[in-house]
Amino acid sequence: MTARKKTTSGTDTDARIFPADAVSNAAPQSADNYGALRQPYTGADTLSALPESVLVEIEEAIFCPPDGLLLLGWKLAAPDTRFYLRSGASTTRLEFTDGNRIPRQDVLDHLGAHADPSELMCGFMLFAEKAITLGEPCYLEVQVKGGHAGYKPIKLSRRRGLDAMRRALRQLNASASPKNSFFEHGLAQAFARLNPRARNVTVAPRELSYGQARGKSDVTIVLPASDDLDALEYQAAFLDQTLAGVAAELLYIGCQANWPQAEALFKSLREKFSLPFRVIRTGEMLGAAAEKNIAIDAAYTKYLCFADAGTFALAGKWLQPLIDRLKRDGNTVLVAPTLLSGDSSGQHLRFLSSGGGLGQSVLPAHCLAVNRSLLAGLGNFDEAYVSGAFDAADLLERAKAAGMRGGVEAASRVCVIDRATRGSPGAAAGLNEGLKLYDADLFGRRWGEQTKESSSARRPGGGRP
Amino acid sequence: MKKNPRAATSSSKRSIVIASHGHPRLSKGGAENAAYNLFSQLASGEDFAPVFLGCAREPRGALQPAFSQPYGDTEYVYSLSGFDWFKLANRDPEFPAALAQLVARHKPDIFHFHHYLNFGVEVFSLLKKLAPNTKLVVTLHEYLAICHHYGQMVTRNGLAPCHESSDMRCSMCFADRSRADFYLRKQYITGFFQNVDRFIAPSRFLAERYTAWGIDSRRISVIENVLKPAPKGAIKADPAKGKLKLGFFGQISALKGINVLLDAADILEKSGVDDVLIEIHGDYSGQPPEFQADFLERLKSAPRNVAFKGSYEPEQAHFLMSQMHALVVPSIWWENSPIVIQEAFQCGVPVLCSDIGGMAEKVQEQKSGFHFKAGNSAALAALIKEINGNRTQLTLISRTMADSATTTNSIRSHAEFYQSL
Repeated sequence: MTARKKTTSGTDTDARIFPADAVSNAAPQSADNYGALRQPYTGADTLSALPESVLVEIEEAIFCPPDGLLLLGWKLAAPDTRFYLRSGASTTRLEFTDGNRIPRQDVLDHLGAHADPSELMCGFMLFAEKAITLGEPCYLEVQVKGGHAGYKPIKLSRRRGLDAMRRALRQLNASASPKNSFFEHGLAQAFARLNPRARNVTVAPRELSYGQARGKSDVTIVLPASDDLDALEYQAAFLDQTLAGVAAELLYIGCQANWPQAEALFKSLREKFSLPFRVIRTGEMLGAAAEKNIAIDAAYTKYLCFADAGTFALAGKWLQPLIDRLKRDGNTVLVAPTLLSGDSSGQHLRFLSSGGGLGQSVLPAHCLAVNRSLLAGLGNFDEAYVSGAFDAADLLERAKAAGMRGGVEAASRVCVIDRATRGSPGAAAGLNEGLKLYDADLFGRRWGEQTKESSSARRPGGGRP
Repeated sequence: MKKNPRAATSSSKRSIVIASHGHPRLSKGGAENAAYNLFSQLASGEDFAPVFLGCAREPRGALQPAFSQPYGDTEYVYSLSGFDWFKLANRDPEFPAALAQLVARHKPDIFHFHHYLNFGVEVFSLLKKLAPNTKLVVTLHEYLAICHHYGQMVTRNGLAPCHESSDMRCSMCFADRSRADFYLRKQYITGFFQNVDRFIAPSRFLAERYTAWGIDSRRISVIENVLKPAPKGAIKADPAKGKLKLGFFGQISALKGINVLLDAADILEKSGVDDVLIEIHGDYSGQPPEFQADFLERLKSAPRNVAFKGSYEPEQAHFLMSQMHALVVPSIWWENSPIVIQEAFQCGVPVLCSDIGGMAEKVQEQKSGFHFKAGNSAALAALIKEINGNRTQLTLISRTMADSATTTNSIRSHAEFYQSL
């Protein structure tokens, strides 16, 4: 076989991060020199020319700036087959045992009689660090016994930020062996690079105003401008009913996928309910903590109250006790209401979390009132968290470390209602759970020792398990 | 908007807006007819200056105003734009401003809704903010707040009668909705219902269902719908002569029990009863295509004792009913207060009806008609056979039937109710 130098137009341009002047066809300088049996990469998929069967599919190759790559796919190959990820001068040996192994019955089904049932776990998710050379094409090199090598070009996914994270979580096999350190060392690294704020994405939020904020608003209620228009309408209605006479402004923030539809709803909410509000469109999904911080910058009030899309004001007065608590105690940075769950089987409410006073070590983040200036002193919410589930708990730990306080106010109650439908068995919920797991892992690594100590200290007999 | 009609009315008249989810010139439902009858009869009296606000169900055009007045100074038509059928929310951003204009113009003492559909339940809080002193009245029609299945309270699968709603039961009917959805739906609707001063239920049965659902019974008054007066001089058919003529009137649908009636006709034919004729008057064009095909197929193979007469105009109802010896109302859903029963009473025509809900309440056994087990065609056939064998029963009932829902009584009840607000 004669090596043929290809021009730029003959290469897989999608595989490049930046246009290259020419495709590198130099033999990689790896320790494994296959000499004459190893042909240069030309941009073509040559795996079928190998003397033994190697089936590998890269279904998603997610670029994790500045040089990482998260690979999702499946492979069926002899155990001693070697896989290398190459991009320009970068060469990374892929060790699939370090990755997340994923059952792929669909692959076996597709192969039919050729499939070996013992290869069910042929799916993988793998993170390769320092794997990408900007401007160079990216491809897989597969080496089989006998010194033969084949290539497979890799097309980089267009996904980025939270969209890419969700894609990975959709595939993640959470029940993989706990000995597998992929979650901590692979996925966490990939996600840290994908987190939009971590990669310093600059957004130019667009703000829209619906009605004039009341003269001296005490508090800004920050809500996600979610794509769930029903949730938005429910929340607005219940706030309208429970905040009559309260000087509050609403601030919606988020990335609306269907803005025309959302805009029509916002117009309607403004016309039929009394509370004035503003909407900040971020243009990109930034993660809950990042959105909260943008809202803090946009608010005019001394106090803010953050609520997620599943929180509903159904239990009478709820905001004032939170604000009163913050006003009374100038050292309290954050207060959460008691959470009730809509136990709809009996159409009554039951406690989800009880009012434990101030000083709780783990704080649910569904709803949270904060003292803005104290929060600023702590550096606001940590944007490494993306799901919104652990940024409050993290904040509380930082507050305690700084000698400040926070906790739950028993006199304030809101309802937390999960609206996942039976018709769509938790696809979206599953993704959010994945993001929460990621945040939980981050929180655990950061605060695990402190939270263990504080719960031991509270236990009768102090410190004993 | 045109000139202010209030200027021409006496200041002693109370201003009232009668609002309905339809307009009888645009749709022919019982509720909009009842609302319009109330409006017309209040207008002809001395005590009220009524305005009618009805809805057009076709979506509004881009340049079309939300409210228009194609039928005169005292009638408005609201053209919809954006409605959430699940939680009965109106997402039309132009509706609140149009409503505010109407309120500013007419300064209603009373705003009386017939149904909350199309306006959206938020209209009640809007009105309380616009005009805190205006009394809000809602006449309830069917069970839409309670039941997402067109307010019929029958299961989607099998059309079985449903006795109460719960988010668990409702989410069983609607797999694409969770219990939480139904929980929030109820919270949403009841939250806005708090703004309503009083409810009217045309039947005790309906009132009880809404009470069981959560509306305080002290807030609900039972008052019958207002009908048009029956034309005088219609000659009633004599049950003693010729074939026994039974009539089905109204919408032809599965829930209205048309299949029960056709099955009963089959049974009668097969059992050799040849002196009964069942006339079907009504419209099926608004029904799902599968039902229409099935109905037409059934008509083709229907026994000789069935005659399909097609649709009729409301003005013809009394004349046509007077030709019948009895009406059959075989609905397999609860009904509320079917207009056809009230119209039959006006004509002095006895009614054979299912033994459930508003039908059983309105038709008194042996006094204004007979009951049969709902959904049971054999029971209906047996009842018809028995009545056919003893037609004097019908003659006696027909002669002595109390006109328990006369137009005069009902309009007077409404007037007294308004005075009590």
